[in-house]
Formats: sequence, structure tokens, C-alpha cells
Amino acid sequence: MTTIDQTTSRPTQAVIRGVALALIGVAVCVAPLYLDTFWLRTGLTVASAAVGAIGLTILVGTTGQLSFAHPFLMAGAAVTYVTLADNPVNTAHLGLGLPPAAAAVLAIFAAGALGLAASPLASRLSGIYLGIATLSLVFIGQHILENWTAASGGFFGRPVPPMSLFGLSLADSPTPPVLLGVPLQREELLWYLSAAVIVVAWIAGRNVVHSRVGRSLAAVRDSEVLAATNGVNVRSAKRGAYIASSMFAGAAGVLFALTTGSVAPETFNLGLAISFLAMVVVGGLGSVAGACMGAAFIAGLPLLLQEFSDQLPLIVQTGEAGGMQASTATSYLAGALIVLCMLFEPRGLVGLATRGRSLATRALRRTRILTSRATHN
Amino acid sequence: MLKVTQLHVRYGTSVTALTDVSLGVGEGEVVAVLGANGAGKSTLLRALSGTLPHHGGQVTRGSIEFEGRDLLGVSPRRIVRAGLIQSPEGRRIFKGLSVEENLRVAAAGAGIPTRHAATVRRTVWDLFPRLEQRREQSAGLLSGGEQQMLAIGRALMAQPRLLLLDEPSLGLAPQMVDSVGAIIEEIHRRGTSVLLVEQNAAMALAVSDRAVVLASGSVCATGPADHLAASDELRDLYLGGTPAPTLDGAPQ
Ligand SMILES: Nc1ncnc2c1ncn2[C@@H]1O[C@H](COP(=O)(O)OP(=O)(O)OP(=O)(O)O)[C@@H](O)[C@H]1O
Ligand SMILES: [Mg+2]
Repeated sequence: MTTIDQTTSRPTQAVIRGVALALIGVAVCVAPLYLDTFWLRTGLTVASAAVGAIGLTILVGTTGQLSFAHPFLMAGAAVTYVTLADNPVNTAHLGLGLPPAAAAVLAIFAAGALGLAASPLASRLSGIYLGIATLSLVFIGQHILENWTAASGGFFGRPVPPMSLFGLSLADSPTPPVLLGVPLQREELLWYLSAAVIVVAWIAGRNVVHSRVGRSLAAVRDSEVLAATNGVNVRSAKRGAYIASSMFAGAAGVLFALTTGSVAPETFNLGLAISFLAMVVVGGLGSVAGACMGAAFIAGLPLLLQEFSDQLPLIVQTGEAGGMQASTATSYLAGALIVLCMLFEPRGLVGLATRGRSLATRALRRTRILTSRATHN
Repeated sequence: MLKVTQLHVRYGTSVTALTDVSLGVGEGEVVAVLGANGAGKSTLLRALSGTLPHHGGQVTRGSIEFEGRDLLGVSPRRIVRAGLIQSPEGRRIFKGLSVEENLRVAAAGAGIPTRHAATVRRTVWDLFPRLEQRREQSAGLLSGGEQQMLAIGRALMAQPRLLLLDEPSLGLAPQMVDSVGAIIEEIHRRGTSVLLVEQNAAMALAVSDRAVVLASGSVCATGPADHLAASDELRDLYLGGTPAPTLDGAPQ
């Protein structure tokens, strides 16, 4: 009986997975037609965080390298995008007037180049030592951007030119494209762009983790000497992981800039670096799905708490007294969750999900055995 | 196929681990390297596989020639791809990876094309059926003997022409030691030359053609395996009869 169940469970799982993916796909496509701006904005914020977190989980989870440089790389990409895409005629800042799509791609490569520039650190140092070294990059980056106002806009930042794809500008317009009777404005259009970027990042991330490259990285994490003995080029593996991770950070930076509509050096601070680490730890180190779950939790929660502060006990709007601010509450929750993860489920949210799934399949199998017994008797 | 001439190795600035070591491995030969703890056996293998720098060591003099190529200063990656691979001491496997992933990493490291790697993996599974049963399992959960099998199988994934084995019988039950011996003979029969470092002299001499005995970093005896197995000299060395020759700077 059990053997039959085991052989049938694989295809069943594939079917369940396919159906689930299709449902998620449909939900993502129709969501902007029903959700209001708040939910769309939250989704966009989570999406850009998720792309960055996927990059970081490759580095931290698979290679065992700790890096705080994500805000630095995001800032680099965001400022590059804005500078390349901005129209030189009507901006007060540096602008080259490139097509936004080209600017975005170049910005991602710029982040990769920053990663390459920092990679001597990454290929020589490991773990916590690399973490400390990359910490300095955050401060250097902020210092440069705050002073180089022509590119960054300085303290007040500068507006971000909208993305434009195939002649369609992803911005509010008096004559928006219409889908099923719903006009698609800036948030709706960015939603679809973000969804596409997440899919690409997800597939790329899974490919890196589950390919020869990913296995070599995991080998390096286990033991550098042993990896070298087996012909793995340790330095270039570490450098490659760092550059790949940087490009994910770059994509996250561009998405973030497009979502918020303005970049300011101030945003890309140490707090953001720590949030990213929290995302990959809470989600489950080395798991692409986990990175996305962690991003939803760490980046999405403060927005939700803020929005629903009047309905929640203890939480107040920014600036009000008599309670906790949403961001503070998130810090507490995230902190508690990290400690709980370390104690009870080191694989994080993704570990919880697998546990839930195996519980469900076991329950399913049991009921099936019971019903088949009942029919036999 | 391998020719080591007057090799000197130093760790850091003060520890001299090998002095004037010369030895050779011919095509299709199994050569055993015997010696007490700290004699420099592992150091010799590290020098051959190019991994000495990873342990803070360096070759200070001498030459290593493998199939006519000078291996000094060549990266471990190149050496693996040239057909020489080391299976390190102490069941060194990638504990965080599954059994199969351990083999896959090695194929990637050796630059074996993906399609061909599956065929090579098949031959490794055939040699170690126990590993195939546990292919999905995390390698860290294997028993000691199975880990040793995995370490050997992983080295074979590179399709080496010369395999360096560092104490494959370490910590194994007597019965397992015999099967390690049988596996070495099988690997040899399939056309791979082997340089075998062993503490278990009986097993090593039984499977090898020739043997080299190291003491305090230099060669103190060499000859055909059956000849050495019968000699009192070796028995004395292992039972502590004759004091091992000491050398300047060599660790005691
Ligand atoms: N990484 C290192 N740094 C400094 N000295 C080392 C290092 N590795 C080995 N040595 C020294 O070099 C000498 C030879 O060591 P080696 O590991 O080659 O011995 P061995 O013959 O393999 O011994 P065993 O049978 O115990 O494995 C020893 O005296 C050891 O202390
Ligand atoms: Mg040794």
C-alpha cells in the first residue's frame, strides 16, 4: 500500500505544483486590477527587496560569504540609472538621456562592476571578515553620493525618470492603457514590470544555486582547501559569487528607484544592509524561495503595520505618542523571529513551509490509506 | 609517469617537512608510501597536488615531473586537469552537500563535460553500490567507512591517471581495511596508477608493486613491496627498532 502511495505521490506533487504556480501567476496578473495603490506600493517594495535578497542568499547562504555591501551596490545602480536615463535638457542634475531600458541594463552592469572592484576583498576574505570589510563600502558610498550632488541630488535626492518599454512609459498618464476596463497607471504598470523581474531573478537565482557553479560555491563554503584539491578555483568562485550577487543588488536598486520615484543617498544606509541580512536569515539561508518570503516579511511588514496602525493595539502613526512606531515594531518582530529561527527552525520560513507541506502530504496519505482500507473491508 | 627529484618542503619559515625526497611512479604502478606519524607523507602528497600553499607550505628545492610536465608552481586546478588528483587524509568530504553533489562538484572541478560526468558517476556507483543507495543523503551523515568511500569516489570523478590516496584505511574496522585494499586493486585494474600513503603497512604492501619508506622527512628505504614486506628493516622501523635518521631542522 505504502509503496503504491510513494510512486503516485511524485506525479501528484508535480501536478499540485503546476496548479499552484498557475494560480499564483493568474493572481499576480489580475491583482493590480483589484488592489488599491497602498497594496500595489507594498508589493513593489517587497519585489525590489526580494530581488536583492535572492542575490544576497546566493552569497551568504550558498558561498558562506557575509556582505553588508547591498545598499552600496543598490545606490550605485540607482544613481547610474537616474544619471543615464535623465533628459539632460530639463534636469538640474547630470543626465545623459539614454533610453530608460538601456539605462537600467547598464545600471545593473554598473553594480556588477562595483562588485568586481570590491571582489579582491571577496576573493581573499571569508565570512565575518568580509562582512566587516564590506561595512566600510556602505559608508564610502554614502559619503561619495552625498558630496557628488550632480549625480545623486545630494541630501534631497533627485527624481527618477520613469521606465519606458516598447514605447510605453511606466508612469501616470491622462491616456493610460486599459486592461479589462481598468486604466493601468504607474503602480499597475510597475507591478507587471516587477513581477517579470522577480521571475527572471528567481530563475537565475535557482540556476546559480542548482548548477555546477552553485555546487562549486557550496564546496568552497564547506572547505576552501578541499574545494581547491578537487580542482575548484576558489578565488574565482568567490569573486563570481560576489559579482553575481552585486548584479542582483543592482536590479533591486533600479526597481527600488522606480518604485519610490526618487533616490536619496540617505536611504542606502547600514540599516538597509542589516534588513537584507535579516531577510535571508528569516527566510532560510541559501533558499531562493526563502529570500522572497523573508523580503515579504521584513520589507512588507512595516508598511502594513503603518497602514493599519489605528486598528492595531500598541502601534501608532509616525510622530504620534502613546505607542510604538511601525518600524520599531517590525524591528522587534524581526528580532524575535530571527532568535526563534535560530532556536527552532534554522532553515527559516522556507523550512516551516516544507514542514507544513510534509505534514499535509502525510495527512493526505494517511486519509488515503484509511479510505482504501475502509473500501476493502 | 611521475618523477620527484630531491624535493625539499618547508612550512612557514622554520618547519622543514621534507628533505631531499626522490621517488617515482611508473605507468600502471601502485606505489606505497609508508612512515610513522609526522614523517611527511601527507606533505609529499600536498606538494604533488599543488595544495601546499593552502597549508602554509612551499617547495623550496627539487622538481616534480608528471608525464613530462613540470608541476612546480602549477595550480591545483591545472594539476587535477592534467590527470593527478589527491584524496586527502581524514575522510575529507563536503559535509554540507549530498553524496551525489560531492561527486558532481568533483566532475565540475576537473572540467569533465556534464554529459560525460553522468557516465563517470555510473562507474563510481558501480564501484561503491552503498553510495548509490545514499545518493540523496547529506554526506555528513554517512558512516566513517562510507565517507572514506565517498572521498575515493569523488577523486575518481576527475578520471585521474594517477590517484594519490592519503591513509584510506584510517579508522576503519579490519574487515573494511581489506575491502579498501580490494578497491585499490580494482581501481588499479581499471588503469589508474596509485600512490598510496598508509599506516597499515600490511595492507599497503599487499596491494602495491613498490614501496617507499619515509622517516623524518626523508626516504629511508625503498624497494619492491614483497621484498620490503619480508625485510626485518621495515619491521624494525615500525616497531621502533632502529632510530629513524634525524635531519637538521626536521621535526622530531
Ligand atoms: N600546515 C602545517 N604547518 C606547519 N607544519 C606542518 C603542517 N602540516 C604538517 N606539518 C609538519 O610537517 C611534518 C610532516 O607532517 P605530515 O602531515 O606530512 O606527516 P604525515 O606523515 O602525513 O603524518 P601522519 O601519519 O600523522 O598523517 C610534521 O612534523 C608536521 O608537524
Ligand atoms: Mg598524514
